[in-house]
Amino acid sequence: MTEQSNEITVIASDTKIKGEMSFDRAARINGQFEGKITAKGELQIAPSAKCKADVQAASLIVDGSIEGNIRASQRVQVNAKGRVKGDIVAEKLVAAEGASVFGHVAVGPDAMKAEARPVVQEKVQVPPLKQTLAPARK
Amino acid sequence: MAKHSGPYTVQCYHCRHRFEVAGRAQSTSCPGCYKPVIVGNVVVDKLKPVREVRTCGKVTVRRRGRIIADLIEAHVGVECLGTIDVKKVIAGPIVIGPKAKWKGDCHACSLVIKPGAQIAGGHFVVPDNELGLADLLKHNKR
Repeated sequence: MTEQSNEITVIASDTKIKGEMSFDRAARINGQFEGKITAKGELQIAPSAKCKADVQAASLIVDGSIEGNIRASQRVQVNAKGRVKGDIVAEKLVAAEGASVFGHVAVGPDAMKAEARPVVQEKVQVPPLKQTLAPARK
Repeated sequence: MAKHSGPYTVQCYHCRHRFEVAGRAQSTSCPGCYKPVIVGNVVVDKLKPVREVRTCGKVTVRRRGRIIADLIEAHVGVECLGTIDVKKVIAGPIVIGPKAKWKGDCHACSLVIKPGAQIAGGHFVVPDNELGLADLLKHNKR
């Protein structure tokens, strides 16, 4: 049991991945990734990592660079050399001095609730257009 | 923030002209555009509904303080422990405290967010050197 909880998936620094990844436990990205990441545990973006991905995780620690929207059910931590370009929705956000953030930020329990609420699009019935042609001038 | 012991450089928030002021000065008029300039720190410890807060110093919102405004411009920085409900904040280093509530856009040289802060969707641009304050802050630290 303890062995399983200590397990961490590592994407090495010489690895480039394009596509979709999902982790049940913790993961660390040292290399390059492009696509979508879903993690049930903690996801770490290492200083050497370059990540162009939409991330959905329980918690996220950013030491490197990430480009894409982030959604964390627990916590996002952007460390001093971390760089985030994209929208952040999280329960908690911690940003260290020197961190770079570019995008919309929504943090707190309310933000998470608003995000979880399904968007119901009402059908607006548009009445048929009446063509009102101006009488031709004689 | 510690008070300046001697003269230091500020930047006018009207015309961006830089000039020296005495360490104890709270306000002055800009020698470039002759408009009044607040150089002291602004402390908010209760509700403050205003159109804009502009200072060459620092804006501190205490735990019970709340600012509702269109614009906050604070060259030395903003420390928010209470509530800020603003359209846009342009500042030096910004610190959002653990029980703070923030609403609005944020353009800052650097940003520190403590765990527990609530941010209700604003556009964050960090680091942003819109006012060219980075070198001024370094210069004054010396």
